[in-house]
Amino acid sequence: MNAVLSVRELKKYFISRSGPFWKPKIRTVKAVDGVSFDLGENETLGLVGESGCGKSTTGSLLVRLLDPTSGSILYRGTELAGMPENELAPIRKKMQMIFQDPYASLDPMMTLGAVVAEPWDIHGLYGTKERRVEAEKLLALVGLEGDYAKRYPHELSGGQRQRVAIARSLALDPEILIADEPTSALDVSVKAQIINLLRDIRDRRGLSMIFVSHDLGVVRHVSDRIVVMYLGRVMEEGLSKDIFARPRHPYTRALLDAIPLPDPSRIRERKRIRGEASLKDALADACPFLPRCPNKGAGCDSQRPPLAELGPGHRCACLYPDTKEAF
Amino acid sequence: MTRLLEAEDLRVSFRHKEGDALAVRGVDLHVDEGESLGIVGESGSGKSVTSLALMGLLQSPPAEIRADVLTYDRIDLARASKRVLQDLRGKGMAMVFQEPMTSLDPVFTVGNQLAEPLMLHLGMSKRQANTRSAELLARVEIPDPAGVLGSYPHQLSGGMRQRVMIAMAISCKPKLLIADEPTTALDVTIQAQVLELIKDLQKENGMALVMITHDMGVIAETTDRVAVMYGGLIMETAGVRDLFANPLHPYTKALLASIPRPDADPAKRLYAIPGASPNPVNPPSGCPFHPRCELSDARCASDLPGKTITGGNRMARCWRLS
Amino acid sequence: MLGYILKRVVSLLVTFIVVSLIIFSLMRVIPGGPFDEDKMPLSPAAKAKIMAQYGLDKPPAIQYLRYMASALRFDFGIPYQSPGETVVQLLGRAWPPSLILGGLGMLIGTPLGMLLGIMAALRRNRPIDYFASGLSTLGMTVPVYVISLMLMLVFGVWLKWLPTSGWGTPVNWILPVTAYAVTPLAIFARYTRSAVLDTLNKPFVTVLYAKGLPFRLILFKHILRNAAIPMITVFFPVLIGITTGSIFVEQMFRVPGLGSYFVTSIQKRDYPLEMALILLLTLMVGVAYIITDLAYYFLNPRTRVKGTE
Repeated sequence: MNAVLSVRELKKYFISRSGPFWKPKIRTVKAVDGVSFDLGENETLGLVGESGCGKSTTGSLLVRLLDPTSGSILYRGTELAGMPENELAPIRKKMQMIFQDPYASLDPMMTLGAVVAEPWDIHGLYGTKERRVEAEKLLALVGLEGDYAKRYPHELSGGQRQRVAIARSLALDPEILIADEPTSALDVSVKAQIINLLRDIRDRRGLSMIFVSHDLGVVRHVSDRIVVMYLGRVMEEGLSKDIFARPRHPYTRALLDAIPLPDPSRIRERKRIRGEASLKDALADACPFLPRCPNKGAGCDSQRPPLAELGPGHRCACLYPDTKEAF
Repeated sequence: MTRLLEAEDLRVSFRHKEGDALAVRGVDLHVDEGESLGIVGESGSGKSVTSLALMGLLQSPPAEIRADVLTYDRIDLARASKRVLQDLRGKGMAMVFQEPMTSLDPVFTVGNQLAEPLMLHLGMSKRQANTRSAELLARVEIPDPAGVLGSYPHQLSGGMRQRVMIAMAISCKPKLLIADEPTTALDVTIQAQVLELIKDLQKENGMALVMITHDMGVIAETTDRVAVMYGGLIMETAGVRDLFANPLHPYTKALLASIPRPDADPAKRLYAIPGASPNPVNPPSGCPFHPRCELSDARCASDLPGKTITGGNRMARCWRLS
Repeated sequence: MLGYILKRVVSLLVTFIVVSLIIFSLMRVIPGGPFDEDKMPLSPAAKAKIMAQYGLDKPPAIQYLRYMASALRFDFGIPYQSPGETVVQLLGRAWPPSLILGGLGMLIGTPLGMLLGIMAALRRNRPIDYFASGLSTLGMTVPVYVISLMLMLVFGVWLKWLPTSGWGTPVNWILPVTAYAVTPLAIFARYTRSAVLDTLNKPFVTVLYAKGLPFRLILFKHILRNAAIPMITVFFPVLIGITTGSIFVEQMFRVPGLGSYFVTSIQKRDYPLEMALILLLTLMVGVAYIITDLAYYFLNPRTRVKGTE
């Protein structure tokens, strides 16, 4: 498999300084603490986890909205981490991002046509007339046919705005889409629309996609492979069907067990975990999930469990992984 | 089964300069003692406004509330005096809200805020209230209750704050707890803990529960009976098992088919309901769902469907069913 | 806590030094001096003698250092325009009327303004709200000397109830204090109204109603306490800002306060007096900000205790 994107030991530490300058109190938040994965051609990778796990930060690092503290991001062999801003521009055309909040990601002062055409403005593509035509084509592609180009964001519903955001992300004909919780702010009945739209566009254009989300139901429908994150580190990685059928890491298991299913007659054996995730638990030489883990045993507190290969393409950072089936 | 809460033809509208927003357009519901009713709907369905109207928390301009019947525990909520309603709130019926991050007063300690209803409704002294508060915090599984009593809200995480809200709500042992999207803002593993907590507390105290949510999974897990709301009206009510096994209303069916589930087969394309939720300022004529319904016809567009009652406590508003 | 106060006091001292340097330089830079010759031509010898007497013949740096050295001993020199007394004596004589005028004005205007603001917020879009907003706008836009004039006209000339000038007895104080009070009343009515409105719209207020708390308790315990936080940030600085308005009121009503000296000391290049006045102002502003920070610290638990956010 050709990796379009290759991430190795990616780290992002946020450092804050407080107190007087002769005795500063430095706090380090290790938002992303050594994440590695590959994204293949035409593949959709789901980056899942709860709040604070670092998935959104990772997404931002990939498009260099944030600069990594250390680690490597290889785009088709070119190192993106540390690349100076002016060299990034051509690569930015290849990787585009869709954000979570459809109410905040569109400039309320710009018409929809202008919003979608802005990337061309920035990169100096197309003349004015062409831009209008192409913008209308893009809007039609996402289901907004007709004279939507002249309308303003506040006239649209959340789902429609998200469509505009998707249209905009396609303006530069990217290879990779990074979608950061694109359906989380939408109504249930609209989520399906956006999921289907993303699937169609991805299949038609042969895009690779990184889909960041905390909603495993949505991830199931969009991703080929999944990376499960917890407190900045990768806990499990594998094919979507393998992970959902047989989650090996106790955290993945707990995550899946916690989801309330719309089926009152189904009785499943569910493991509940107590407590909450706290960055204080992310010690350098221990498993971050240790305080809440039902499987804990010897060795969990003295080393960072390495990502071990448990099956073809299925890796898990746990010394005592589960074996039972989930759904 | 004693009937605890009864509402008939509840209507709530908000006066606006551009036109009145008809948030709730004629809702009938009832809750019996100890029962768990789920109200499920999307944004604009009127579910939250319904709960606020029941608790009397809507400001009366701009809100206008009308109902044929609106009683709780044999008290007429529409005609009751302010004092009676104040006495009821927090003691007879209590509410838990969606956003734990902004639901507590930031300048007072958790203990201070927990003690308020205890001292007010149950006449406890400060000391008694603090003891009871510590017990309540322990019951909602907060570690170090004594420490949390002296803490300020901003020192607690979202999950902890929501537990505090729950403790506050059940502190005077109300007969009815209304939970408006109590876990929507929480992580899924915390959500599971909080839902389990609410269910346990309900059983322990013999409390009735109204669970308002957009999440069908939460409905399946926590309710006995369900009312599906759309565009300010109840489209269908049924026992929870009946609703999922055999949904009658096209909206319910469409909703169930469009939920992305983790146990589904991703090869199958999700059914997506076309269009968007109706705007309360300008609701569609006739049946509110007709613009998005595959089965709609001319009659659906012009006339609001009446209620079709079928056996076993089921109701649905759809011309296709009569 | 103590360390915090100490830090602020030290930074205030540093501010003093910086301000004094800036004022000193500015004053020397503007053309002209305290003993200009258009009105009274002087012979070179006489001029040299006067300059030496006031130490103005030395280079500026020396003048500055000598000034600061005496300042440390609280000797601020002798005002050029009133050589019969020291600066300190002049201040001692002129400060009390300004203090009384400002103090009473604030004492009356501020609480009244807050009351008006609270009522306006609680009865939004009703008559009292429009009245309060109107009064507040007028109070902030109409210059204080116009207000003074109007008061004098109505109460002093037409109705002949109150004297229009002088500072002898408390009766003389009524009109100037009223004129002075209009500004804080207007400002605080506006700020209080918006602070209370903001707080009323916060989600936790709905929760308070849901707990069954009576409105009285919600207002006095929760809302006012929360509204006080944004209010405090502006309270003391506004207080100090208003002191400069006293110049006009004092002129109009002939109050023998510090106000007029602020202007004349610059016009007449009265270096010692003007420096002392500016330092006094700096002191008041600095102290006002320190008190504000302390008040904020006590009112807002988020500054006292670290949170998870």
